[in-house]
Amino acid sequence: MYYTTPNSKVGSIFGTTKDELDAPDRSSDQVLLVTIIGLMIFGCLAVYSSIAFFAQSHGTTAVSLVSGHAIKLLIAFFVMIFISKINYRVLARFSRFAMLLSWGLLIVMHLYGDVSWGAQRSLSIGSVSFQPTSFAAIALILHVAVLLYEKQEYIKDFKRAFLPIMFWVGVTFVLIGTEDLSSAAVLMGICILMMFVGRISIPQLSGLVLIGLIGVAGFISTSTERQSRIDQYVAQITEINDQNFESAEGYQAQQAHIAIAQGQLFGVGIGKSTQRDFLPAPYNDFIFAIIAEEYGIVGAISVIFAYLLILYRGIAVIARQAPDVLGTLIAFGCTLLISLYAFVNAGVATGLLPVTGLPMPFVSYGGSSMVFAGAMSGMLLNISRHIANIKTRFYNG
Amino acid sequence: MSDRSSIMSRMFLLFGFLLLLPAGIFFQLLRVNVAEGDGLRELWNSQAIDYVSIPAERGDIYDATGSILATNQVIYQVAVDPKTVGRTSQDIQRIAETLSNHTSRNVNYYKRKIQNAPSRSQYVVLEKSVPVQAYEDLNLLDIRGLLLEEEYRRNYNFGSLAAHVVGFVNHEMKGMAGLESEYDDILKGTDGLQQVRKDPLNNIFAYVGAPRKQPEQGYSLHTTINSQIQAIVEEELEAGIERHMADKGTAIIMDPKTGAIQAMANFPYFNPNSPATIENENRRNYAISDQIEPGSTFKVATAIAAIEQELVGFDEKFETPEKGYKMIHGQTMRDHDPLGTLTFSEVISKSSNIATSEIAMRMEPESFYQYARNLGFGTSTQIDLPGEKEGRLQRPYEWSLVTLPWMSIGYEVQVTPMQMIQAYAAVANDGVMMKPYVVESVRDEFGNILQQRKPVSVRKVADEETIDKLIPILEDVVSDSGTASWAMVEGLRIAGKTGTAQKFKDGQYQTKYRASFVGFFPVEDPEHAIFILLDEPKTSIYGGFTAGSIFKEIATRISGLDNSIQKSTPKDMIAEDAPNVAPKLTGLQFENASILLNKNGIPFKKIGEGIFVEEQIPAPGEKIDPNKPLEIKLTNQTTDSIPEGYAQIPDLTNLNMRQATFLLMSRGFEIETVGSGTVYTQFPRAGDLMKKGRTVTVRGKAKSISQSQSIASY
Repeated sequence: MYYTTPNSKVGSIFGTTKDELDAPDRSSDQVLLVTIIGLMIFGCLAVYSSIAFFAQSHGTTAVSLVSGHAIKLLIAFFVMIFISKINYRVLARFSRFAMLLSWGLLIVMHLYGDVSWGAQRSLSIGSVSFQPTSFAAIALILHVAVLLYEKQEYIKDFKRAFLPIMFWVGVTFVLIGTEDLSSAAVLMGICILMMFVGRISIPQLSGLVLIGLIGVAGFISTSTERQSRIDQYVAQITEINDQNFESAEGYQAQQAHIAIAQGQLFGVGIGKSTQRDFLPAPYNDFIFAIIAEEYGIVGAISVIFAYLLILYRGIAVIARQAPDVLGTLIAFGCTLLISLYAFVNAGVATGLLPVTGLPMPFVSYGGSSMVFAGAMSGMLLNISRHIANIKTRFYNG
Repeated sequence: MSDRSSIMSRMFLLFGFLLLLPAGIFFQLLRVNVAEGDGLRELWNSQAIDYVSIPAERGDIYDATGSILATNQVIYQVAVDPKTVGRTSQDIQRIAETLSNHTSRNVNYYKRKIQNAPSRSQYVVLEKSVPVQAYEDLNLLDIRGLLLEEEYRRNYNFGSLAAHVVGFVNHEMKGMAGLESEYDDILKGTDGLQQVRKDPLNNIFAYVGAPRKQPEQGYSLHTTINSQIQAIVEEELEAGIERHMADKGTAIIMDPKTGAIQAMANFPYFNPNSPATIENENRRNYAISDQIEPGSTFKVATAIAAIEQELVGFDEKFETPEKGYKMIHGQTMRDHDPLGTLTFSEVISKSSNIATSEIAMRMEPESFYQYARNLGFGTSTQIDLPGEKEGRLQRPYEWSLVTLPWMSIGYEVQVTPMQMIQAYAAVANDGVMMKPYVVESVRDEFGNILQQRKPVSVRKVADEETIDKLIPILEDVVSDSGTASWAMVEGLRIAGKTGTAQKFKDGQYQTKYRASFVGFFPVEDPEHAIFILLDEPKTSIYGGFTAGSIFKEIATRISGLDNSIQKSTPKDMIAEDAPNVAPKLTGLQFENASILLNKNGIPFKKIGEGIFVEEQIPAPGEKIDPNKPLEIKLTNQTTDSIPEGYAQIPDLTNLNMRQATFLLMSRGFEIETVGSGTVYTQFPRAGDLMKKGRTVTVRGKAKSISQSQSIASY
């Protein structure tokens, strides 16, 4: 059943087949689950270490903020477990609806959103505020996977496959990008990679990437501020110690480097970070620098290994052994989103990448990104529960 | 290739590429740590950790009697740590209330200061300097997070007393003048270091860890200055300057046997507690830095040279012109009065310029130069004070035809007051010249002597026979027939020499003068050599009348202080004139008056009851009728005994600072506190009368440093 026919495809998405309602053959991927829980607990420690300054400046204490963080983690955990119980094919049925809902929310956010704690706007519903961007990201990944799955039969067709997918991706990119360009760019990259995996024709994708590069070049060259940011990045890659930073990004990059250098091999010890006072958002964008300072290279590498493990389990185990193309693509997209966010966050802190504001999933302080990371891992876990079915199916088929 | 395997191969291709990211992160982690690590950690050091110094306590400066001339006042800084105390707590209210009781600021000022402090600050300074009473009250509150820190400020207990010798410090406690400057390295000690954390705005927000290095306290100086003598000298110098309407003046007292400087005063003086308020010129120590033409006091060089070389006979007669002046190589040499025929002794004691120059012209210039040089003129005395000048003694090859005669009477030569007193002290010390000094010993904070000075003899300036011949001549100066009759003190043998010199300014001699007197006593066993110099006295230009009379006052009072100075007056003289006149009794307590009268064997009777003597018959200074007892009328009113605007200083010993303050305030005095705790000494002493509004200094037992620091570092 891994190969889908046009007929069975329609049925599998919009109808209910016996196959979809089959109870999963096995439990969730234990390695993945333990790794995620481990990261969440470790994240509590790291947030506690790094949030003291922020807590003071907002008239509260680190303990109360970390308690809030733990509650969000708990919510994220239950969301993850809840979603892991829902068959991904059932979820896939709502992808188009989720897409349209997320657009609506993004537009509402543009019109009525509150700007709080940085550039990312959020919507408040009662006392709960959440970021439509995160919701849009998960909806887009799910929907792109569904579209690619639906169009496998004529996937090389530019008009029937490439263009419709690009319509969803492009609109979402614009809606998110006007608010948070780096998130939008990463999301766009993930979609392109999913399209590549989903067998979209390489010349078509190359054309897209080319247009994208030209767009980026034009985008950068029209603003001296963006140019200097690139110059800064080049300088930071070539010469870390340059003290004459003119931009805030340069200062941040240097402070992050100082944190890493301060940590050396085993770190300065839990809660003994000094660089948290010098870094902006040390509990979020620069949490990796604080981890490197307090736990040293050993701690930092352990965290990276945790995400490598997620990447490995997500792609080499779950996506590879998913029962169908839909499962493969969803698993691939979710894994990619989680690990790419983590690597970009760490890459920024270590100076590998220019300064952007992506959180480290499961670790960084922040509510909605946490919940959506939980939702994505929930989908991943659900797919992992169907692995046994596929295997037998392959053997049978 | 099947669709599935196509998907798989594409996916694993990307998987491979994705691994490049963590690889890059590992690489960067290592690169930042290894390749750039040292530089970055250096940056961290410079931005996050700093050291502040823990000030060392500067050493005290003592006088010869053990009084402290310069010490440190502890000032108390009050700060709070809002993280511990909170920002609006009850404790904050209590702190603010206590503080405002002792300062001019109100409660809300302090509360606002705490509330407006940066959110993460752990060190909000409320007051930089509060009185000790405030410190003690705050300490009693016993609030955690209230940070009381002690700091030192230099305090000169006696204000302007010996200010030119002691000197002063700048706001960084660095010695700027006098001993404070000369011995700065010894006094200052070594500051300790305390490690602190700084935030991105460079504010200290936490003290971390134990002090890295404890401060080493500065060493104390024990000087030869006797503050009682110094006080007498300053008082009499100022009074004399006022009396004679001089511009300024200098006085030095030295122990001729050791070279110890017992007093050194200049007028105008300054208060080293606030040196900024005084003009720079007044801060200069004229006693060692003024280079002046001395006039007749320099004749000691001529006299010694003449006696040693046997160029004069003591029976030789010197004729001076009737008109009182004489031409030497076209220049007029003038005596203050026509002096007629003189013996050698009279030449000096009556200070004849004409005869002195005549004697000098019997000498070779070289030998006269050598004698002047031997007496220390033209070279530094190397006293341990900063800013000493060498004076100027021209070498013979620089001399003109008139240099020798004029130099012999103290012109064409520049000397410092210090050189002059050193020369006369050498005469007093049997011809042995001593090196002058101020610091007797250097001691550590526990009183252990680290360095002890031994008197240093510089050279022998004359044979003892010469001195034996010279001293009677100098004694004659201070006699009815000499130029310094005003310097005579009954019963005290004094030797000395007057000096009057025209001021040389703008290329010519002015009709302005410097008047001086230098002498020593008692002649039998000289203990004090004194030099007094007045600049432009207006009552008289003569050193005998002006400087000599100041000398007299000083010598009288010093010899009265010193039991070892035996006045050579016969005993019966005292018996004869003692009870003749009534002493002044009014204003005294009856108890004291009766002691005084009994001592002098004066019979008396009291009229009425009371504590104080209101009236006496006969009046003070009038003759006593030996047959009639002296009548004293008593009263309880103190108005007579304590003049308007004055009050008696209470005894403050063993009171605490708050009680002492209360007692002094109630009598209209100001209080200045040194240290804290209970009072163990005060100045001026109890029982003295003093003008209201003046300051009484009390010294408490200082707390130990380790105790005070435990407050600051937690």
